[in-house]
Amino acid sequence: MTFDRIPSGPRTSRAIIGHLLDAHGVDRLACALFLVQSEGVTLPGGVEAASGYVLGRDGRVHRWWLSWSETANAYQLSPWAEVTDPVDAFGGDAEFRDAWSAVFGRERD
Amino acid sequence: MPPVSLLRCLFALVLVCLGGACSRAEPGPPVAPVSASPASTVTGSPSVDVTRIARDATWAPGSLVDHFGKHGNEGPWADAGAYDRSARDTIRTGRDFTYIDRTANVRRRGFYDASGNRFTSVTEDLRRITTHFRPDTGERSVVLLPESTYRR
Repeated sequence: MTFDRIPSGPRTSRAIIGHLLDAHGVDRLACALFLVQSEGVTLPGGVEAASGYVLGRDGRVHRWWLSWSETANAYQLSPWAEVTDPVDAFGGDAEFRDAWSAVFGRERD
Repeated sequence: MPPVSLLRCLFALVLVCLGGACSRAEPGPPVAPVSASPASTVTGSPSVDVTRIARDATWAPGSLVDHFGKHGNEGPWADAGAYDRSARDTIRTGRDFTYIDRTANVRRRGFYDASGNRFTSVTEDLRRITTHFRPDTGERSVVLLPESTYRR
């Protein structure tokens, strides 16, 4: 099996991101991504680098970047950093409001 | 014999694919769907005020620094400020189009400057700059984006 036979694409990318979120303590089944962006860089395995933000069930928001660690030979979310005061930072973003609805089931007040 | 790093990569991919398939029909966390705004449609890319977008669109918190850190070595950008100016200049001078981002599965508005091979993307509501980089395969890359309205 060679790299070009590995199934890649957005489903694979999101699966990898989901597992890495779990590793960061964010329940991938109770969170929502927003402002996600493909970054035009192909990582090992044919997966495209991507960036974005994740809203967790605890209301915290982290920014992340799907990249490849040469030292660990593994995918990683790096940089990974919390955004302070996310409601203030993203309140005007339609994608954040939709993420909020997806996580909490209602529009943000 | 493939190198160890290759084998580890393949193993990691198998694991994530199996894990995703077991946990849910659509692997990975949901990307919040965004309703289409009146400013754009699926089939077309109505003209937009590029001067206003280039002036008013902002990077989300931390995003400019992260993007410069990852893409900064692709162009003659000495610092994040120069990178940001290039992103905005691409909006002003590039050809605008819409497409579906592969990972997000949401519509984005793209701007491509063929002479400098520069690409900038903004959200559909035109509020946020989401990336800026020089595509490896040039103009071909924006033509081949899903549902790209870019025309040579």
